[in-house]
Amino acid sequence: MSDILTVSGLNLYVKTLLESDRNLRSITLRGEISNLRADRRSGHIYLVLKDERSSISAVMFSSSAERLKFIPDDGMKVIVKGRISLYEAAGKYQIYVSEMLPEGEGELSLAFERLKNKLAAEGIFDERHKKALPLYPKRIGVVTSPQGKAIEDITQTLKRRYPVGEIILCPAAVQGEGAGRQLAEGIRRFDRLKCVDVIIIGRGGGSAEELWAFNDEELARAVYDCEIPVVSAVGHETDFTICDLAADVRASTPTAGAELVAGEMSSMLSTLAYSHRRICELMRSRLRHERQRLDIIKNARVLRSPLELVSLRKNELDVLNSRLLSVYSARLSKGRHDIALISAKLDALSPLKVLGRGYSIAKKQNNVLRSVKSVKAEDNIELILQDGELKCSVLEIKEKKHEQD
Amino acid sequence: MSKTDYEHSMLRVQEIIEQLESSELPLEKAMKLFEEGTKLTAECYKTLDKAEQKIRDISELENSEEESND
Repeated sequence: MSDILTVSGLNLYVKTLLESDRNLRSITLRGEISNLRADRRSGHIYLVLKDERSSISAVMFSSSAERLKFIPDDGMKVIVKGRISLYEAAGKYQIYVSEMLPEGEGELSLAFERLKNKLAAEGIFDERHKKALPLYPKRIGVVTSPQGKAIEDITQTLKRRYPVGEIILCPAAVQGEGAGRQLAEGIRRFDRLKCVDVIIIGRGGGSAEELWAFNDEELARAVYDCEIPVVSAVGHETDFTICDLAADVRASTPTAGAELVAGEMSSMLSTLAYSHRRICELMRSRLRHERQRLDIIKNARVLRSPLELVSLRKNELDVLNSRLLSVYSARLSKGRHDIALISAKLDALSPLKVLGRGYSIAKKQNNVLRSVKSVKAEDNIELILQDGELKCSVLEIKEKKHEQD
Repeated sequence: MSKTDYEHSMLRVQEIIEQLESSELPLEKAMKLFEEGTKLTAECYKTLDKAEQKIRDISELENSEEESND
């Protein structure tokens, strides 16, 4: 006999062996529950999973058991996730369960995970592909069932929040055979036509099976390829679908989806109100400014009573004018007077006039005689009378004695 | 799809505000812009007021598309 092992030693060895196997670290197992026992004190669940031929012990610790979304019971077919190890005390290998789902749901969930991982690896969900929603969508495409609750919720919400947007409905089955393809085709129809600014795809709440169409690979690719932004609004808050992940924006419900699309209506209104106010404000302040400038100019005396200036000027003008007139007339009458004076003088001095009164002019050899001393007796002189001349001879000269003598 | 009339109007309104904000603008120009701006905002208000939710089926659009392609 070679080395003798202890039981503990053996169990530890086998446990180490089991735990070192990569395949056994994370396995998914299908089976039926039997011998279910919940330890109230610790919160752990103990059970046996079996199929037609075999069984395996399973334990679910309280930390995992707390997250169960259903109440497991004997006879229930489930799918569990967990790791394989050995319970040393009993020398029993078993599965340590981290997640457990009823079979149908479990299968869907597995398919979901598989598809999610595949598409994620392709980059279908990458943030950098996400498109922004338009601020003021004119037309909103909706891909959903025309009879469902979703279209009603979306219509009501948009009516309340964003009545300017026109809704274009593309009817599609949202559950059952072929629903995924119909939904995908709906997205593609909008994308072909480019007739809407944003698309909401979704449906109301339902079971995992009912929402399954939104985990369709073809749909995910159609949403990813779509050049128009897509809002995915499927089921309730807690429901996550592949379509949600592929879409540009995920909304928790159809109503929330409509609100996201309509989200900018309030800002639209406030932007408009602000813009209107701002334009008026700017114009008012500009006018106020111009008015102030005007006031300053207006307060100048000239402008305050422009007529005053005119009358002032007029007065000046009047004064000048009358001065001018009086000077002129004075000048005129003086002129007249002067003329009269001169003409009177002239008149008086006219020799003809003098001759007319009986005087005569004596000349000797054309020289006017002013003194008797200029003449000798018997000189010939001429006398000019009013109407002719006399040739005379001087007979005698009598010199007048001075009166004072 | 190109920008909606509403978006165009609002962009123009924004431009007008910016221009009005610069005080170098001659008064006459400012008044013209003011007139244009208030006219645009009034139209936008009208668009919002008049709006009533309309629903159409995509097939209507597809049909009109086919017609226009003919």
